[in-house]
Amino acid sequence: MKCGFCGRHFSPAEAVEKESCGRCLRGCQKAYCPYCGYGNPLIPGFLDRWLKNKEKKE
Amino acid sequence: MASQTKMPASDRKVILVGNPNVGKSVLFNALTGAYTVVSNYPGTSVAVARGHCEISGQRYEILDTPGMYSLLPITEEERVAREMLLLEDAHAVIHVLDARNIERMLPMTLQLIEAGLPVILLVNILDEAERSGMSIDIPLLQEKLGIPVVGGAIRNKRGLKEVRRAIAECAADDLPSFGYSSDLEKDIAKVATTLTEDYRLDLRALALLLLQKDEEILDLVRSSEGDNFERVQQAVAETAFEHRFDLHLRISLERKRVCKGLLAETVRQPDNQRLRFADRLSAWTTNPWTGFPILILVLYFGIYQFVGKFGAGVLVDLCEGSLFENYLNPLVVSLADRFVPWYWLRELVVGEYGVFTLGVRYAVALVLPIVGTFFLTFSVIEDVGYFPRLAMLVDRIFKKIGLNGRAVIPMVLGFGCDTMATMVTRTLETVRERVLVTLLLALAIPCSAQLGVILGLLSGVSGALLVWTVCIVLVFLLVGFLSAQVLPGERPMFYMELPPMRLPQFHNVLVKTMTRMQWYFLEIFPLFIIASLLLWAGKMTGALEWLVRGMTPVMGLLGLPADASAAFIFGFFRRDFGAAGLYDLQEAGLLTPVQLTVAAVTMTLFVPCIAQFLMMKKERGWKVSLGIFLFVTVLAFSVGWSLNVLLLFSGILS
Ligand SMILES: Nc1nc2c(ncn2[C@@H]2O[C@H](COP(=O)(O)OP(=O)(O)O)[C@@H](O)[C@H]2O)c(=O)[nH]1
Ligand SMILES: [Mg+2]
Ligand SMILES: [Zn+2]
Ligand SMILES: [Zn+2]
Repeated sequence: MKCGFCGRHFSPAEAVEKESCGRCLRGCQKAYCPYCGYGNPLIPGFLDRWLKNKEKKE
Repeated sequence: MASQTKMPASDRKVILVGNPNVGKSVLFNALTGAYTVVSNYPGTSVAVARGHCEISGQRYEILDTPGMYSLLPITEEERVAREMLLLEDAHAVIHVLDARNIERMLPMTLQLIEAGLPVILLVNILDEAERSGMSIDIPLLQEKLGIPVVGGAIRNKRGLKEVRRAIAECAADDLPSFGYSSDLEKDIAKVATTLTEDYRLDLRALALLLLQKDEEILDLVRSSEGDNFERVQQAVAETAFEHRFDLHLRISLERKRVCKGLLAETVRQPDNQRLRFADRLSAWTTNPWTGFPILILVLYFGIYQFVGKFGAGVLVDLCEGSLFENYLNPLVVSLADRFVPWYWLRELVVGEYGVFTLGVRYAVALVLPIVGTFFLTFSVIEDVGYFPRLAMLVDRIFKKIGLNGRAVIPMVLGFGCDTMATMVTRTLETVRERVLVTLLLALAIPCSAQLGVILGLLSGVSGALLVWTVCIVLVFLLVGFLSAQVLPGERPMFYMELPPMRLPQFHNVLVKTMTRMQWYFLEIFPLFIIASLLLWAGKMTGALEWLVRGMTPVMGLLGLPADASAAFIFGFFRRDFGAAGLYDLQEAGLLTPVQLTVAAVTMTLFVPCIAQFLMMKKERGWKVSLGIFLFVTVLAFSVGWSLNVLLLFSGILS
């Protein structure tokens, strides 16, 4: 995925393992960018697939 | 792995490296054709493709590596890519880059050359670059770089022949050398001269990586140098200590400077009006003189008008004013009256603190429209690429007034606490620093969404909003002051290559907004329900009344009516819940603008919503977290008290 802050690409698998920020009861549901630390929202599967389809069409 | 064919030892290896999405895999496929093997790199989950090709009778093994941004790895993929460069005996290393971003990507070419690798540079995606009006003088770039450079658009097979020729002719005899500033060179030499063994990487590159605290390289050197390792380590430690905070930045900036020189006459930028405008806008956003007004504009339209006026005004009126007040509440209340004979159960569902009348209404009708509009704005701003520029702007403004902006942006924008953690671990050297860091953590600025909710709810009373904003800015400045005390030195917070600015992509924004809304809703909804349950239980047992009575004197000190204590108790569950309570009071005409302002500021500063407090306790133990809690509570209420006195005394807002 692409980081919304620094624009670099990373694989979410590597970033999700991080702990919660301490403010979220249910966990952050974020993929923290390994390069800059920005918390990118973890997009749920169905939305992600929809987005990928759209990108493919364009 | 089983399918891997045995290859003759004479196959020369060609490694493809570069950032993600530059066309490495396209090149790989173009070179190798059908017979390729994809397998995980040993000991990792990172996939690496290998294939073969033949050029003028010589067989080559081609390796496609995962994307990497720098020779100093951060992710596992980068680590694998670098390990391949270190371990595979490459005949040629093809650095593929995207012509459109050549300025950002060329520093890695320098790194590869510096490492002593036999580099061929492929300037790919020239078709797109040329379409936007950019032109690159490839022969001149080759002359200046001193390595083979090929321009092309591999997807269209353009440049493929030249790449093949470059591979065949590749001979890594004398690589060019690009000098850095003399004191950096001195540091490099100091470390490099202590190295006595033979490495695949050039000693200069090794020295640079050692200086940047590369653990793997350190291990490698440790095992190779044996007894001499101590000398190396000492040289590294001495130099690294002298430039504790800025070494990484210095090296990046030096590389950037060299690249600028290389590209000055080589690249002609487009005359395209729109691209020009994006560049100019990007520069404006980070220059304090123009950036600050732009920030104000963004906040005014994006937050005040859209979130405050539209979200908190129009949408909340629609949801809470019409839908809930006129239809849902009466309906549920009358249903409860008809079918629920027990007073306690009616209270539980539709009473003063009823699960429906308080919990659901606050979550759905008050908070959701506001965070919805807020996240929409947030996602648009994010997608446009404004945030890194904002970070740079804040950093610059703070630096101008002698403060440090490094802590402010990550706190608000929801970075991982790692960002703070590095700060803490790196600097816990003196007691003074430790105290400052604790203070810093205690200030616990609410995340942007919570700030957005409070701000939206205050938008109806513009004076209150203004004073609240000033107070928050003061807190930011205080954080900047504290972190300047903790972190001396010049290193700006985010030294980073700015990603290009662009128009927001509709689908992207939509998906991110929905994701964030869903996350936020699931986060607050249970909390709001639990809160109203507890409040109901408190009411039934009389504990709540007792608590409210206990808080009344405190409310009195702040100049607030006794009713406000309920909102503060809400605020202990979460700030946004408390803010919704204040909004309710204000709608009912129970708060003057001064009272609303004082209450909102106090509540914003007043930390620990339960979640935060529990986490604090888990991480720092009872003593520290109670200390922080007490400190912040006292701080919040003293600020509230002073603000009340100040506002009443000066007559502002009354
Ligand atoms: N316009 C254009 N697009 C290209 C070219 N080469 C690759 N691409 C596109 O760039 C994207 C990334 O390519 P890929 O090979 O997967 O990149 P990798 O991450 O470096 O392996 C793909 O969508 C390719 O179609 C090219 O020469 N011109
Ligand atoms: Mg690839
Ligand atoms: Zn990032
Ligand atoms: Zn979190």
